[in-house]
Amino acid sequence: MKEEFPIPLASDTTSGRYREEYPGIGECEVVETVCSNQCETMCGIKAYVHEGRIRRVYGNEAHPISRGGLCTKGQFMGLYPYSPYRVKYPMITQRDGSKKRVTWSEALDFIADRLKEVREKYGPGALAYFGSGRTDQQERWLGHMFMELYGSPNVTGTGPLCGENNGVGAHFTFGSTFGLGRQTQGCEDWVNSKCIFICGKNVMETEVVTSQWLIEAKERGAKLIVMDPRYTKTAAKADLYLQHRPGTDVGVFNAMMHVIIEEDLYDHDFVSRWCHGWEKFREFILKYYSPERMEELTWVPAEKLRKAARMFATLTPSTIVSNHGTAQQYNGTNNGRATAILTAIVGNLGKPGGGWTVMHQTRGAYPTGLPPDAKPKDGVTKDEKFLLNGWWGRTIGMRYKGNQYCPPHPYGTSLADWWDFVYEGKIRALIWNGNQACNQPNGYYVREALKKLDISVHLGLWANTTGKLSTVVLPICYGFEFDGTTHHANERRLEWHRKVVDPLWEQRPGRDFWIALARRFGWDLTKYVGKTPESVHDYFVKAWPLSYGQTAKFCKENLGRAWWPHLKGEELPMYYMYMEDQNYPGTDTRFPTPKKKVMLYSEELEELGYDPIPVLHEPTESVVRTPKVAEEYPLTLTTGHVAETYHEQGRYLPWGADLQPHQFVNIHPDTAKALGIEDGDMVYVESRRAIVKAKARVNHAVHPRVVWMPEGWDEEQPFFPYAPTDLLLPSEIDPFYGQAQYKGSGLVKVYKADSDDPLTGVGPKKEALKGPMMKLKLFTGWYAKPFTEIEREQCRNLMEEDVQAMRGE
Amino acid sequence: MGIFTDTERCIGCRSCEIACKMEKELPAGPVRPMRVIELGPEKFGERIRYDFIPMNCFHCGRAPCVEACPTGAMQKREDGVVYVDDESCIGCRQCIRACPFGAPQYDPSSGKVVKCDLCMHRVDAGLEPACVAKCPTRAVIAGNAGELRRLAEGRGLNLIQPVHAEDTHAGVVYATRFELSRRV
Repeated sequence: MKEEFPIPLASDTTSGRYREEYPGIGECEVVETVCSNQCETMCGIKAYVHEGRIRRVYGNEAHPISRGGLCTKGQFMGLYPYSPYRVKYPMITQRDGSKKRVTWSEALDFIADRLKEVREKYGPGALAYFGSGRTDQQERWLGHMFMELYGSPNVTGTGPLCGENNGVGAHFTFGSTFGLGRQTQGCEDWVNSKCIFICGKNVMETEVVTSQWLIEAKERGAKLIVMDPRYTKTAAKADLYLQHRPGTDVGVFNAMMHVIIEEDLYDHDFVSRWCHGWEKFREFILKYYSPERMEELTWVPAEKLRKAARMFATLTPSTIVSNHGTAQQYNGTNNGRATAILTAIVGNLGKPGGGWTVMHQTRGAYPTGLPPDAKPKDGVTKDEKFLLNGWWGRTIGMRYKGNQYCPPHPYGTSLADWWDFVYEGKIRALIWNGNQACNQPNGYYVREALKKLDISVHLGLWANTTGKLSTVVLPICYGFEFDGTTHHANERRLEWHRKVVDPLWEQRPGRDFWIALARRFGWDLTKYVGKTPESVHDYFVKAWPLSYGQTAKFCKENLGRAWWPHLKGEELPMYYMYMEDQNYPGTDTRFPTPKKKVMLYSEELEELGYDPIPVLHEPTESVVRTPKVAEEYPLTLTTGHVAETYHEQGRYLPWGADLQPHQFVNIHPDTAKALGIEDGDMVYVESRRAIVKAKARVNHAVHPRVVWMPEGWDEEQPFFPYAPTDLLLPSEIDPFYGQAQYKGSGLVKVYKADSDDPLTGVGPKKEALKGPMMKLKLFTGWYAKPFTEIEREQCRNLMEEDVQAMRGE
Repeated sequence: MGIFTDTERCIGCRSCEIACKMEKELPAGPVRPMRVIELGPEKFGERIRYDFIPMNCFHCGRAPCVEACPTGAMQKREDGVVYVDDESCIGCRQCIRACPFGAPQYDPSSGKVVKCDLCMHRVDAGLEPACVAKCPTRAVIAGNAGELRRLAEGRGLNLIQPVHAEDTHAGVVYATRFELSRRV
C-alpha cells in the first residue's frame, strides 16, 4: 500500500515563480528561492527551469544581504537533485550488512514497531534524536513535537557541535529570555563600523557571500583585525593579523581587556551605569592577564596584543565577529563570555556599527507549543526530577533550568556526550541526519557504539558512512525539492525556500517522516500544524511570542528581512538589540540578567560551578596541559572548513570534488622540511585515537608547531574517499555545554606515507574505543571549586591537576 | 567591452570558475575558462602575503590566437570580444600555442577548444557575464573600455594591459590592482 503523505511538496505554486526568456535556452520558469543552509548567509537564488530540468542557477539581486552574489555551493544547489549519489529509496539493513530496498510504509512500520518495543522495555528516555544543520526547520520542529509526545527529552541539534557556545556565553553576559544571547545586529551593519575584530571566523571562506559587507566596510575606512591560527583568505584582508595557539583565545581577549583597563580606554559611562561586577573583574584581569604573561601561553607577541586592544577600543564603534573558531573549544563558553564583555566595556552595545555580531547566533526559541494535556503522563518530560537527572548528559549546563522548551536544548544534551550512554545501554534508539559518523570526534568510538543500538534511523541526503552504519535509511528531500523553511540564517532571519523541481526518486521532505511516524503511535500532528507547508511554519513561529510575525507570508514578502524579535501586532521586526532606550522584548529591562546589567562577574555561573569571569582553560590535550603526550605527538591540531564545499555538500558532485579534491594537512615549511615532507606528499596524521591520511599542503599559513585540517571527507565518497579528519579528535567535551573540540583538537604527529592510496594504513588505535580518556570527575571537580581557589591557580600550572586527575591520582 | 578585476576585492572563492563552467555546461576537470590563481600564503620578511587573481581572457586588441587559427574559428567581434566558433574549430590547438596566457583550453570530451567569450549570448541580451553576475564581492566587473578605465583611475588602481592589447580602441581592457601587502 502506498503511504499517504498529507502535506504536499508545495501548496503555493504562484508566488515567486514567473516566466523569463534565457538567451541560448529559451523560455524558462524562474523560481525565486534561497540556498538551504550551506552556510548561514542563505543567499537569494533564481533557478531557471526549462522543460522540467534546472538549467541555470543565479543569485537574486533583490536579496538585501547577498545582492546577487552566489558562491560555488549555492550554484551546486541546482545539481543536487540530479546526483546519482543521493539516497533514493527507503532501505533496511539486512543481517549480512547489505541494504534492502523497501517502501516508505514498510520502513515506517518497522521503525514504529521497534520504537514501541524500546519504549516498552527501556522507557522513553532510551530514544534520542539529532537534527543536523541541513535539516529543514519544519523537519526539526516536527521532530521535537514527536519526541515530546513520545516522552523523550533527548533532543539535540548542532548547537553543541557548532557555533552556539558563544550564545551561551552571551546569555550569561547580556541576558535573554530563552537561554541564548544572539547576534545583536546584522552583517550589513558592518559598514558602520570603524574597526572589526574577526576572531575565530573565516568569513571569506565560510560565509563567502557575506564577505562583501566586510569588503565594503574596509573600503569605507574600517580597520580589520583578524585573529586565527591560520592565515586564511579572511586574514589576507586584515590590517592586523594575530596568530594564536589553538584553544588559548581567552588569553588574547583577556590580555586585550588588560590593556583597555590599564590604559583607561574603556567606556566609563557604560561601565558605571550598565555593568555589574566591574571591581572584581578589573582586579582579576589586571592581576593575571598582562600581555607579557599571555604572550607565553598564546604565542602572540605582547606588542600585537596591545596594538589590537588599542585599535579595538579607540576606533569605535567597533564590533566583534566570530563563530566556530571560538565556539568549538573546550573553553568555548568562556570565549563567548570574553567577547561579549570585550565589546560591552568599549561601549559598543546598542550602536550601529557596534554590538556583538558573532555569527550563527540567530536561532530563536521556537517551542513546540503542545498543550500540556497532549504530553504523555509517563513521559520523561513531565518528571522534573528526571529532567535534571535523567537526561542522558552530564554537563554543568544541564543543571541550569533556563530554557525548558527550546529544543534542541541549549544546555546539556550534546550528541558528543551521548555515546558513553549508548555503550552503557541507556540510549537504545537513534534518529539522525547529516553525517555524524564522520563528523563526531573520535569517530571510531562512535561507529562502534552504533552496533549496540536496537535501531538507528538515518534521514539521509547522500550515500555516506552514516547511512551505511544505520539500520534504516530514508531518502530526504533537499532545498530545491519542496517548499519549506530553512533553518536559521544570520541576522536572526528565517527564509522561505521554494520547490524548483520534483524529487527524482522517492525522497520526501523530513517533515513527512515525523507525521507518518507519529500517526503510527495514534498522534495526528496535522491537528496542530495543519496540512500545508505554510501552516506548519506559521504554527511554530506563532508558538513563541518573539517570532510571531515571522510568518510564511512575511518571509515570502520580505526576502532577507524576516528576522525576530517580531512581536504580534507590530508591522516590522526589531533590528538592533540592547539599544539604550529599549527593553529586551517581553521584559522590563534592557539587559534581562539577574542584575539587569551586563554581567562582567556572573554569580549565576559561579553557583553552577563554572567560572564567573572568563578564565583561560587549556584544551584537554595540548602542549601545556599534557606535555608528556606532546613528546610523542608534538603538533597541535586544529580543524575547519574549505570554501568550495561544506561538510558533504558538494563532495558528491564531480565539480565540487574537483575544486578541493584531497583531504589535506596544512604544514609550515620548516616543519615539513624537518619531517622530510614536500608539498603534495601523502602523509599519515596520527593522534592517540586514530590514524588518517592527507596530502601535505606546505605553506606559511600556519605556525610551525600547528597543523590544520579540513573536515568534509568520507570513506564512502565516490571521488577522493578519505578517512575523515574528525576521527583524530578527542572525545572530551566542554564541561558546560557539551561542545566537541573541533578547534584546539588535541595533538598529532605527521609522517610520510608509503602509499598514495588514501584508505590504506588508516584506522582506530585501541585507545579510541575507550572513549573519553579523561575521567568524568575532571569536569565537575575542577569547576566545582570556589572561586578563590581558581583565582589562585590562574594561568599557572593549570595542567598539573588535570594530569593528576587523568592519571587517577 | 571588457572585464575589470579588483584583486583587493577578490577573496579567492572560485565562484567565478564554477559560474563559467555552469554557463558553458562544461564537465568537471582541468578546463576552466575562468581560473583563480592563488599566490601564497607566503612569508616576505615579517609579512605574509596571500593574493587571488581571477584570470579569464584578455580579449587582446591584436589577438595572437585569432592570427594563429587556421580555420577562422577563433575570431574577434566588433565590440572586441574574442571567441571561438564551435562548429569550425577543428581542435588543432594552434591558438593554445599562440596565447601567452593560457586562455584557450582544450576540452578532450568535445575535441575542441574552449575559451572565455565574455558570455556574449548574455551580454547581447542585456545581462552581465556569468562570473560578473555571481561574484560575491563584485571583484569582477564588466563594462566598456572607457568606463572601466575611469573606474580604475577613480579607485587609484593600476591598469595592466597585456602586450597585445595596446590597440584598446578596437579591443578590451583588462585591469588588475596588484598591491604589495601593507598588512602586518
